Amino acid sequence: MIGVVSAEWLKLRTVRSTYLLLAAAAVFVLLTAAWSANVAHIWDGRPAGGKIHTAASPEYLIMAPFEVCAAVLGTLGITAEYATGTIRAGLTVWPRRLTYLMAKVPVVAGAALAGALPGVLAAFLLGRLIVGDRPINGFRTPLGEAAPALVASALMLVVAALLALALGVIVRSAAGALAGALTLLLVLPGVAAHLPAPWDSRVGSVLPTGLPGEITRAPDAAGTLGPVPAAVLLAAYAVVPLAAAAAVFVRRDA
Amino acid sequence: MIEVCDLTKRYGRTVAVDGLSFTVEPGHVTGFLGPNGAGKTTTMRVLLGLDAPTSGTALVGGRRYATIRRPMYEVGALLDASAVHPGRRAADHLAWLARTNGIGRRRVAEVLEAVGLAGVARRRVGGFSLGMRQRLGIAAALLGDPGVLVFDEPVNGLDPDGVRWIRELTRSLAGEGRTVLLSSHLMTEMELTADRLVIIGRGRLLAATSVAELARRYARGVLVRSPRAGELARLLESAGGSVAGEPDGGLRVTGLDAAAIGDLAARHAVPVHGITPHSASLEDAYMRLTADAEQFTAAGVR
Repeated sequence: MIGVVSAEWLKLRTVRSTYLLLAAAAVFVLLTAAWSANVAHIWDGRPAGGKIHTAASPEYLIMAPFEVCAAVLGTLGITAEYATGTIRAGLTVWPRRLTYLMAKVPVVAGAALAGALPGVLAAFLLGRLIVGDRPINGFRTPLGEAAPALVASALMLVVAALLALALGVIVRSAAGALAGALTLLLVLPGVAAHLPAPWDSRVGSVLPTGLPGEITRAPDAAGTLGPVPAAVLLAAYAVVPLAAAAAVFVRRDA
Repeated sequence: MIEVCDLTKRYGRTVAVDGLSFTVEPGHVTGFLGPNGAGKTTTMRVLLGLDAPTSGTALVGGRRYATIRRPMYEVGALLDASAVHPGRRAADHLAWLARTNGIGRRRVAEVLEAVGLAGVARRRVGGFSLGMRQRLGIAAALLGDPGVLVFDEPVNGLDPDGVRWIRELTRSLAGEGRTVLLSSHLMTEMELTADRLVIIGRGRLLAATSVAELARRYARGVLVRSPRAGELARLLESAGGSVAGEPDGGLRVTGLDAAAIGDLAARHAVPVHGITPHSASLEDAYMRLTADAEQFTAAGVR
């Protein structure tokens, strides 16, 4: 089992797509820094009476592009093998299907976390550094207070990558798996936001992108789920599709 | 040792392999022949545990492939040489395959050297020619130094040097006592490489034989030339041969081999100017075999 996990790790770091994804993530972090600089610049340019009070935080803005990166990472973890046919070479040298698939989980999850956590943290810290002590909501939470939300967001990105991996196994096509993952991660939250109250927040908070907010919500604030059910549901977004993928993968002809 | 026993594989309503049985013995190159779509690749996929059989079994060394713990040490397979990630370097492609079975980088370097790719080990596979990819695929099959080798169409698209290289490699692997199964749809290639043949058509076994036996079975008799052809023809017929006259005055004799004809002529002091055994080319034999299969199936439908 260690051999096949180690082989997965080698596969991941010997293709250029992994490094391109990392580079893309870094560019997105820099774009959020540019956003923060723009917020600071606008604040400085306004007269004392007309200051802006609220702006989107960089750790919020980074999420959508990072969701795309996570979905691509997870999808390519298997669809690259179907597209090139290397899946058959892989299953010839390691015929145990379940462990072949499960070996991908720690590698995809690890790579997603290794990209997401520093990336989200960097977006946050650069934002605070650039805006400084200007009193703008979205840039005022101290790191100690924001840390649980940042970690929860990074974990959501790990779940997104694993969900995309599972979809990739099931549909065997990068386009199909990405379309499915991005529908869930980017399209449905937008649709949910347009539902009549209270369904907008009810639906939005049980989607993967809403769950980090549910997990870190203050205990007294009103919401749909408690932190523990929200955390369980977030894990289920990875576990259930992976279980379905495993069931298909062990039976299907390669 | 490979044993395929009453193997059937259906994809939906299509029957790809239909009650196929054969064995492949160690120490020989066995050619696995059939027209395109005959079921060769399907059989190999089932053999390698990639596809599940509808019924029947395919065993390697007496076991189902999927139950082998570290298959690279027992079976080396080349299924599709173009199935490589184009962005990965040759050595890395072999290294990840090797790691699954606990094989190290040193062995990767060795097999790259053995197939003549050591100089391009750090190049991305996307830039490789088909011949280089075939070599890379064979390098992968050799990583675990296995006793059984299964190559699907290894000479497809190769230049003459590559074809000769595969031929010599497979023959030397078999010479070391390994079991070598080599599929092809080209009889002319197998004639030079294989000792034994498993010929299939439409998923069914047409012949499991040796190259020599197949040539004998489709022998076209012996062409004999003599200035006293009429006399010789009578002698041959009385000795049990059947004789047909050729337009140029030669005699086509079946039922007697060249040695028997020569001895008979000498005993009766009949001069002979030429004795030429004619065998059908294996290509013809193969075409006839596979054509028979098509007719059989067509008749069955009617």
